[in-house]
Amino acid sequence: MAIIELNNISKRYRSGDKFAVNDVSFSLNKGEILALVGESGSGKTTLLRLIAGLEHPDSGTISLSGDVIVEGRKSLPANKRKTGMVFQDYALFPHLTIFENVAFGLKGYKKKEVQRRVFETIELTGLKEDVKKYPHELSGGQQQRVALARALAPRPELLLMDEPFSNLDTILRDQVREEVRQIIKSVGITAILVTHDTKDAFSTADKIAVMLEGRLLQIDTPNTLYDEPNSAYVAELFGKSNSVEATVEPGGFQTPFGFVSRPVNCRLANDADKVNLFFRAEETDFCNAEEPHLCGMVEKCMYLGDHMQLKVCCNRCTDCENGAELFESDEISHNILLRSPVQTWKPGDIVRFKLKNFKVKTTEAKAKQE
Amino acid sequence: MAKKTTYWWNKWTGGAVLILLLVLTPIFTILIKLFDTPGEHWRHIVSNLLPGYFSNSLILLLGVGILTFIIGVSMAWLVSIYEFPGRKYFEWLLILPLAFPSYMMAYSYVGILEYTGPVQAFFRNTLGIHFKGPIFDIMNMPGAIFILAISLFPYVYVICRASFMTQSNQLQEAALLLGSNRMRVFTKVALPMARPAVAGGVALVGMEVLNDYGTVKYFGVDTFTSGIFRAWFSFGDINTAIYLSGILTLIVLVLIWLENLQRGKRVWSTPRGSSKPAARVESQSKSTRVLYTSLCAFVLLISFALPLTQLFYWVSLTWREVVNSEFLILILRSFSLAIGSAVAIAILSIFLLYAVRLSPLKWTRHIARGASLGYAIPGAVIAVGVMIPMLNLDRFLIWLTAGSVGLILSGTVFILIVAYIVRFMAVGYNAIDAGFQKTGASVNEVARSLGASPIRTLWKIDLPLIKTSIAGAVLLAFVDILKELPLTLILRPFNFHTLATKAFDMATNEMIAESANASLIVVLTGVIPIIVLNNMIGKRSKNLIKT
Amino acid sequence: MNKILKFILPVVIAGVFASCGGPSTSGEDVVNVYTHRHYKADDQLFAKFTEETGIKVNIVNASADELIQRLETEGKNSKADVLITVDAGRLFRAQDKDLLQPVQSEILNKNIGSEFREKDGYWYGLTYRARIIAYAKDRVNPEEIKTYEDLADPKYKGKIVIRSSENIYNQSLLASIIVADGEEKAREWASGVVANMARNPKGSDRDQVKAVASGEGDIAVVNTYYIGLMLNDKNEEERKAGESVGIIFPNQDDRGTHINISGIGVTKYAPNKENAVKLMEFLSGREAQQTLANLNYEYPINSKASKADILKTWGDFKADDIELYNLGKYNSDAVKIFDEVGWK
Repeated sequence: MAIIELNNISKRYRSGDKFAVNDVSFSLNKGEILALVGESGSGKTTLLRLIAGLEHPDSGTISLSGDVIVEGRKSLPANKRKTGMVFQDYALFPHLTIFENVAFGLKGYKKKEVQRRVFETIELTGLKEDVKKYPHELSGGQQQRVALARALAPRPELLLMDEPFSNLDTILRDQVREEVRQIIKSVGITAILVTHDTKDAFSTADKIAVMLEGRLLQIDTPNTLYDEPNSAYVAELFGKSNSVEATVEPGGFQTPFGFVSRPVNCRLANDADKVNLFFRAEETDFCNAEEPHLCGMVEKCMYLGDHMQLKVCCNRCTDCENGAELFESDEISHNILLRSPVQTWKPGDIVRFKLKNFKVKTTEAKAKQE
Repeated sequence: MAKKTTYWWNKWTGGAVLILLLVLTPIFTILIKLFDTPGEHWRHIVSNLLPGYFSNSLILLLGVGILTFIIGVSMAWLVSIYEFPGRKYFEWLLILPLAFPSYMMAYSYVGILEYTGPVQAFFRNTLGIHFKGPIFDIMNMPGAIFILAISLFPYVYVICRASFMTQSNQLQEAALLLGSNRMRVFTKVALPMARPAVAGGVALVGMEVLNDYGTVKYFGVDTFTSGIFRAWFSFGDINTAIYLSGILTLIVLVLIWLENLQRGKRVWSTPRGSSKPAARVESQSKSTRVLYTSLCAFVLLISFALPLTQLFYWVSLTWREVVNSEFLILILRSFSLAIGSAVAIAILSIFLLYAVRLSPLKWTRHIARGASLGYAIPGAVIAVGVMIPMLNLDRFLIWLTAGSVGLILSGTVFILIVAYIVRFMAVGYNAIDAGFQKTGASVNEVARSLGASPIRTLWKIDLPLIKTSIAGAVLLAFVDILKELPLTLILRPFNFHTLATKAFDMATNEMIAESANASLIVVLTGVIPIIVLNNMIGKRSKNLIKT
Repeated sequence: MNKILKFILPVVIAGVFASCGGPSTSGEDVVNVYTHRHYKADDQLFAKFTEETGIKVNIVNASADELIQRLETEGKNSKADVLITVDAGRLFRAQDKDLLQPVQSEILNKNIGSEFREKDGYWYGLTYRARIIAYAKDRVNPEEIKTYEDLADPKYKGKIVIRSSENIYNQSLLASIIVADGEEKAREWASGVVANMARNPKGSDRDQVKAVASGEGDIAVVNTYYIGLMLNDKNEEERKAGESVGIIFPNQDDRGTHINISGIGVTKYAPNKENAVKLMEFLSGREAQQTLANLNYEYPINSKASKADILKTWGDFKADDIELYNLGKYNSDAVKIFDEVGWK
């Protein structure tokens, strides 16, 4: 059963006619974790706040566990919704102890029950601190656990998290991501988290929704998004993607970098002349001159810690017999980005590579190569 | 399933609108009466007195504005940029004149400088120099400008100092490296950047000048406010008083509009990254440092130390006769009235600001800001504007109960409290707004997402976190109310004096030395909150420096 | 902190309302006095009155203008029994606004001469004072100034100091001149005085004397009791200033020096009328008159009461016998003239 369902939710910015959230619809089943991904201004945080009840949409409906909580201009106040929220800055109550913080949402419960719940939830989040301490006495990571425990203690139906990992340094991040996912899964709660970091989304979420300028571009599993982005933007989001023009020739495609042979089960819907080849920087292999390869010249190289990024161009490559001279024209400059293990590259070096995986797209047809 | 509500209107917004109506009613009442016929004395006033009111008010505004600008900005600059002996103390000592109401300063100075006062007596008896005529006469326009300037300059000083201290030192250093000397840095970089702050401070001074009654009355300078009093009390012509109030309100509104205009849309603040305040200049010669110390000491002397000493002197002469049980009751009344009103202001401000916090609409904030308008309107005008609807309400009640109740609204402290709220709401509002901004909206939103109702959130989360701001608001409003004169004079219930009105009364009845007893209490009471508040502000800016 | 608030708030509110005060009409014997006078002598006398009669005196102190306005607004609900002012004009105004009621009493008629009371008994004088000319002993020949009208003589240009026209004493003086000389001449006189002023009017009567002492002016106009107060002040400088001036009772050869009274009247809706009359009779008695007048250096109304010493040294003088109600009748005319001639 769908825990949460949004239908045509729209919200305008207060000044002007731009939409903060534009006709967004999706639904989540129980236990699923959704990541809302997008750059700042995409509307993801606004959407989260709309679900929480801290903002109100102009139109559309939201249902939580089958109950309609938002319908156009009528909406249930935030404190009456069964949602829990973890804020980016944790927003722990500085004047209350850890215990009191976590217990805050448990108004109306008997004292014993409150105690039980609080300790249970704290244990769940792995917090091992004296509950009489105050937030300012804790580290960032511990504060996050308290914030999580506080949101989970009332057993909400939906957990909302706003940029939960952006305050952590990279070293902690991987570990925390894993832990948070485990905690959510063990409780079995449905969760939506908002992030601008695609790695967060990939490692934590079951489903990812990409937002751009208020619109929901695509919502799918991580793999599907990675392999089958429905737009250039989505593709770009999940890795540096190269796009190269090519003409269709018997047996393959002729690109400015050389000839790419067509894989066996690659089908084109119609006889198109020109296509675009899409491939990611990491979907290439370097090779030597003997094998069939594509080649280009290094224009720029960037050292990125664990790998290097090469900007490779083709129109000045003269030292190659692979057909590059077919495109020798000063007007057209084709650049692609390649990923390389750390080596001493320098501008002017010749690069020889072949494609491990690529997609072909024409204006009408879409073909996929395994 | 719980009821859904239309989210853009709730009881908080409704309450905010109500409070706004309450505050704006007096002002509207006055402005509407402008369309009525003025009283019988109006023609007489127009031909003989009105031009004088205009020109005097204008001269006062200009004179005091310029003087407070000079004193306030120069003191702020010295204290922010340079290091010299005693600087740490002068920083907050220079705020002290705010504790001294202008009219009490006027009485003190007249006492110091008059023929039988210590200064002239010293010259005559010790030095044998006999001054003929008005060398020491300050009971005139220049004297009024002087007194108002030295008692009001702290407004400019404090605001300017805050601006200088938060300006990034990088900008000033950049200017220095580009070849400017210190003076050029001041005039071309620091001062222009502080312009909105300075303009705001001078505008505030202007409001206070138009509001003043005690000083101008004592010195014989005819302004709008003194004209209102004259029409109200001497002529007994309420309609003329209202008409004058209306004109004065229009002038004030024009001033506010001008001030907003000059602020424009330009960005004045530095980007957030460079928030280290300017490091102090220490490499001055010894004589320069001594000069700076002397300048500050001089300003402090004439604006606070000297008048205070005169007060102490007078008290030593007269306290035995003045301080009796009646006087103690007077103190009790004054204090409890001021605290009660200040608490009411704090509560209403919390309500208004919380409504802003809860309401998703932008105009709620405008409503709340509108409630602060009373601070700009002169106290006499507010008094007149509050009196009229209250009297009507009372007459209605009397009619309703067939005359068995007396004037229960307009004749009691109730009307005073209402008028104080209208006049000083801004004080509480700004202080508590700062508190709400500091704690941020997240804690409030989290609490609500955890199921707490808005009231529970307010009570358990927001209020405990803004405790110091609430205390600050009550303190500030308390001091302002204690000092207040013109409004209280008009609206006070029968046989009810505050320390301020008592001092005024005694001074006007030629018991000026006796009046110092009441004055001293007001001044001393005003000093304590300034010290306390300065510590609070100081802590906050120190925290800024740390980050 | 919340707990503290919960305690303080109700206490504060209760305190505020409880301390409101105001005259009471509880069962005990009281008389409620609305008075403009603010002298210590009065308090002494009221205490004595209570001692002798057992009637409690509740005092409400404010300016006469405020008191009159108050009586108007309160109307029938007013708790005031008597109104005391420091000027005849205000008594006239109160009477004119139908705020007073007439009382008759043998004692009052015996103690107070007819020239000092309203003919129907609406109000009675308690003390009187003269508005005299004070001159610098070392610079002015007192023989040359005989009348108020002399003050407008151009030969005194730049020599006269006198207080603001806003003050009721000056207004009443001008009113008396209007009655004596007519409006046109009164306006001319005011204009002439303004031309002769050494400085813009400022300060109190005492300040005028000090201005003469300092040399800023040569001639001042001042109420008699201020001279008395100055000559007996604690501050030596005040005494010296007071001693440096001599006094002239103007117009002794024609209508007499302008006097004004401090007076009392019973209010129209007085709840304790009998007590009010008792108080008035007490205040008009010889002993009370002596205290009332002498501690403040005023002249007692009761001719049998003895004067303060300083007044005795000044001797008797002829007083303007204009009917006092005129001071009120011509008050607004006086104010208008002041404004027209620019007497600030």
